[in-house]
Amino acid sequence: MKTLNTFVTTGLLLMGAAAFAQDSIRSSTSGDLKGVITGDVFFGFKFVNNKGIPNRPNVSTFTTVGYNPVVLYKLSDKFFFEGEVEFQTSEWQEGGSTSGNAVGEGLAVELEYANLNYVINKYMLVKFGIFFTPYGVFEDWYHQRITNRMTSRPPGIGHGGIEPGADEGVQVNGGFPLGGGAKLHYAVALLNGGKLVTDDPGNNNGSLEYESIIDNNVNKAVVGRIGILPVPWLEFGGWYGSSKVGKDVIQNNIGAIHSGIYFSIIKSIDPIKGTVCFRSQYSKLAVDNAVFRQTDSTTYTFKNNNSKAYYAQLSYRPTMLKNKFVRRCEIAARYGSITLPDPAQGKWIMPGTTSAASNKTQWAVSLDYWLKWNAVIKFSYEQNHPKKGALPRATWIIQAAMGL
Amino acid sequence: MKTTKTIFVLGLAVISLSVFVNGCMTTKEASEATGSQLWSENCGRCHYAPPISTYSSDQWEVLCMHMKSRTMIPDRDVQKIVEFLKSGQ
Repeated sequence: MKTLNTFVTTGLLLMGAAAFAQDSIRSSTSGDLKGVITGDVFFGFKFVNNKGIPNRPNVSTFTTVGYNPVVLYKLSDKFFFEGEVEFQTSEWQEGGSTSGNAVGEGLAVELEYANLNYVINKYMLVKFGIFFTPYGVFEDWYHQRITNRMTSRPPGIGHGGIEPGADEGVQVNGGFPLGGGAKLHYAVALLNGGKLVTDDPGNNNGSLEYESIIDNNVNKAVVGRIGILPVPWLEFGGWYGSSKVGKDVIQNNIGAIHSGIYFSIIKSIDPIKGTVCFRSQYSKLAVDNAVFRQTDSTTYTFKNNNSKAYYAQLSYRPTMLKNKFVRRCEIAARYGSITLPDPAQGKWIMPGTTSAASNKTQWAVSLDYWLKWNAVIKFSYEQNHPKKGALPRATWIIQAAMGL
Repeated sequence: MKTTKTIFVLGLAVISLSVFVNGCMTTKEASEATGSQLWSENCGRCHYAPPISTYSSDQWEVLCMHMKSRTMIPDRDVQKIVEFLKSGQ
């Protein structure tokens, strides 16, 4: 019945919203297939200083070479396909292990996204398949190596974070011009959603798995996001999503709420002869109380299963200076934090990682040199501060990336 | 039940916004933004803008459709950007 409700409601939503549209997009006249192959390539070198940390030697390694081809096909004025496959060497993790779905000698392959879009009207399109979800904006817009000014993701955000990066489902999204040059955009998606881990006592119980192709229940995650640009250089927005993520050991249907906000500014400022970019995001996840089995088969109730993560990043590039070398340089700094429930400390293995998660704060700085609009070499320094008195860990990373 | 309610709330929010937006549609100021200006503003939000000669007219059409899908740039702006990029070929 719930599934029927979901289908009926979604259908009505699409039909109703389409009816409100005053204009229709140009219909296809040629039907000619037009395509572009694009994507990005990158490689890096990392040095981790584990001085003073028991059983953790210093490490230096060439790491994470990636080739991510993107194919785009415009089938007509109304139909469009986009897909990306990621080929990457496994990413080095703290502790010396690696992550990724290895299919060969250290090779990880992932279908990042693959979705078919249908343009309903000027203000709305619907996409089916795997796509970046409306949980936040970092993974959708800023994680690519030529859009991310840093060499890494903020802690807890995107893949390996407290919310899914991409997921499978259906999404309606679009943008509207408002008065005075202001704009608004929205996205509403039905997704498979997260899965509650219940069969890993002492370790991952209580965590959510994401980006699973097969759902574990009939319920679908529903998430909506709205963004507003009052002026072209300033944007803010938020998202809210609800889902059932599975049943606990006494068959309670456990729910999860994702929510968050984001804020960004990008503006060229004449007095400082350059462009300033500020990006930030705050993400929160709240999972219902649930009963799990322990290793000795007794049960316990996992309460206050709440997680949060946030980051703020500021970068500056002297785009208006005459000196070509200086004009190509950009400096960036980021501060981020992730907070997990107490029972998760040192136990959960977050999606896409292999080492135990814990609360931490991180600050990072990067000096980027732009060879072209789509080619950059980044020199960055990160310091991770695990909470509760553990020693900080310093990491130097060099990364070269090029968009295709 | 909670999910159904959420769908209804989100649906109502989208429809309400549609009505609101249709009520205060394009002002003269907004409609006067040039394709060049819109191209610079919209591309620059995530990445640096490529030179126009990087892609052909057909490729720009495809890429702009991709960007419209990913970043939800209003259709009016996308059309202006495509026209600008094609005119610069």
